[in-house]
Amino acid sequence: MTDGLRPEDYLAYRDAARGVLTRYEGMAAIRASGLDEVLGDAEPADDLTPAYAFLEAQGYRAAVTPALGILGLAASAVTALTTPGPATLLAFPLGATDAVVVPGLLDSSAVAVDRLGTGLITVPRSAVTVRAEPAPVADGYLSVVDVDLTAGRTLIPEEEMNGWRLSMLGRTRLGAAAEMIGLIDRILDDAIAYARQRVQFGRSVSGFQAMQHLLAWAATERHQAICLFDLAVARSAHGPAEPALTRAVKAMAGRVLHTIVQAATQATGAISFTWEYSLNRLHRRGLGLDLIAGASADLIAEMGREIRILGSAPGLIDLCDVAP
Amino acid sequence: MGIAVPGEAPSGLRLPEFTDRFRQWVTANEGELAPVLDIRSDFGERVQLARDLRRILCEHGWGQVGWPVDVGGAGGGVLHRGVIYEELYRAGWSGPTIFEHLEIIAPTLVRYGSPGFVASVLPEFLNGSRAWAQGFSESEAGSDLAGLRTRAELDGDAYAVNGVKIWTSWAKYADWCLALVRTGTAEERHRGLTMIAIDLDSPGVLVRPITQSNGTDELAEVAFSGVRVPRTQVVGDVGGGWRVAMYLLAHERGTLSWLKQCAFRQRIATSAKVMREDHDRELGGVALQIAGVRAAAANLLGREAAGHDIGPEAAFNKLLMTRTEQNLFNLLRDVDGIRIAMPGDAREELILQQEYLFSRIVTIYGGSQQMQLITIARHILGLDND
Repeated sequence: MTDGLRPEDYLAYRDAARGVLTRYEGMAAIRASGLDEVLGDAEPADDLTPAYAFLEAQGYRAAVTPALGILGLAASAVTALTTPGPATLLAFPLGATDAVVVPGLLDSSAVAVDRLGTGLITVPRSAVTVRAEPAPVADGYLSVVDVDLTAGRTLIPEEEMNGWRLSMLGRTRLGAAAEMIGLIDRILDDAIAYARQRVQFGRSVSGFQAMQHLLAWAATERHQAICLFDLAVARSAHGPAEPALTRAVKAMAGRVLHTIVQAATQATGAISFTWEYSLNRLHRRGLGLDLIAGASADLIAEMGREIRILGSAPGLIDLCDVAP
Repeated sequence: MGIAVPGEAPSGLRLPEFTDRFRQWVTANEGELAPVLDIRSDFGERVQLARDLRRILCEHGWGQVGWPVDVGGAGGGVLHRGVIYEELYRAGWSGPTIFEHLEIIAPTLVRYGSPGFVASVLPEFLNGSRAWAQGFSESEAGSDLAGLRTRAELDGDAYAVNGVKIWTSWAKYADWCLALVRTGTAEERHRGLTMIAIDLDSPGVLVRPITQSNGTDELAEVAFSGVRVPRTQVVGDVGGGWRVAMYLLAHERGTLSWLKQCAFRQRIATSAKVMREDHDRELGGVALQIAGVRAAAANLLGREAAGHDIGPEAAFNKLLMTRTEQNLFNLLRDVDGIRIAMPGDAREELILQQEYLFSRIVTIYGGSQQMQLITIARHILGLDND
């Protein structure tokens, strides 16, 4: 849509990943895209841009891979992508509940859980029980699981977790935001395509001003999310992702996703009621992704609280980020 | 990016070093700057302070930064100007008032004006001694700008301009007006337009200030009766005015948004003290919107700095900027409504009311919200004409 406003190198990664994801899924897609080299534990790459681009492509294709769970563990010497055996996937807490969610859970993958006060614990797949998803099932991408921690072992003790926990959070937030941006793009593209071909009153509904305003607002919302995301990814290529920035990116992605879903629902009319229409699976996936690493509503409240207490609003990015 | 930094030879400072240097200068000159950065409830006083700040910046060499050397600038570009604005706001600046046009009209003059003319007017614009207004809208040509009727007829070496512009920002305080006029036929619509710079001291110019809904006289009606304008003051090509106007509007909608988000951040920070815990979610929501405006503005400025033309995507910036401004002041109204509805004598309260009332119309000026949405729908999304 407005790819001309985005970094060319990032788009090259994204478009390549989109191509891979039309032919492969799961770990095969990760290996075919070279993401195993980016996220592998041999020499963890500082620049995770290809991973974020892959996740954005994954969102657009509604593909299923464990990339997000692997990304969370990057640079932890846990990922085991370059050694034989199944990958270990990071599980993400669901608010105050005991259950955790694992994106792209594999039949054989171990699961790592961060327990505040204990550290990073890994449990074998046999100690992971998948909760049944209520019908209709979206796409099986986000598995809500119960984990038997008594069967686990501590990989990183609490006293060594601090720096890693923060970096894990930052990577996960950017990764989940990337995937949500892919969903946003797909939902909006589908809505526009639908509006173009839908004929009412003898003409395409995309020609009605009310429809044009609706879709133009949606595109505007998308634009701000992408601008903030692109700047954050560019920054993260040169150092650890900054907490305030990744928090804002994640919050923005979630907030915009909800807005885009509503706009697309409105634009597509009654077809949006129908489960089979593409919007609904993408919406369900987005709802889940919003909860990972902090729901947008909670992150926004946190931002407000900080401003109120500190009496200042952080800039998050600056013009040095865009200097040629 | 090589620029002549005050007190040094052209140094080619990178932006981070430039930022540090300017910030240090602001700190070191706090005594001289504080009075001119301060806010006033009287609009005329604010305009004078804005002029004084421009003078000081130019005396110290900073005011020319961001503009080409061959027209009186000191080199550098839009990112340097953006840094200067942000640092001034950080130091408590209340905003540029009429010199907002430095980010709207000046880039247009530099791009499309003849070098000789621009070199003759830009330095005074930069140093605050002369200000500019933008003459676009007419009573019958608002959103439908291509239908404007103010005519410029060529008579020897000059144009004779006749017509009336309305909602002309800052005209009461301006010395020049960059006006979009008709040199072709009405049927030619946008193809018959020319941009021309009119000296408002010329015989035949009548400026009637319009008191705005917030009590300030920022706007005016400007009548031109046989005003003679030298041909050398055409900006761009004769008949090419529409292209120039689109360039100008892209700056009004796009690059101005960096300056505006600086003001939003300042406002939200100073308003934090009236917020309570139950406002956290709303406050965070507005802060997130400001972050969106800032990121989109940085994206646009970065692309401009890299040499890209700004196109219809500036409509994104306009929509985000104005929506955010309204939401910011909606929050302030909900939290601090008494001071907005019934301000006391304190200048901060009077200004708060002025800014709240102004925020109601930000979705109209510079191209209404409806027009921005249509621009996006047709020129970015490629949707059909209604």
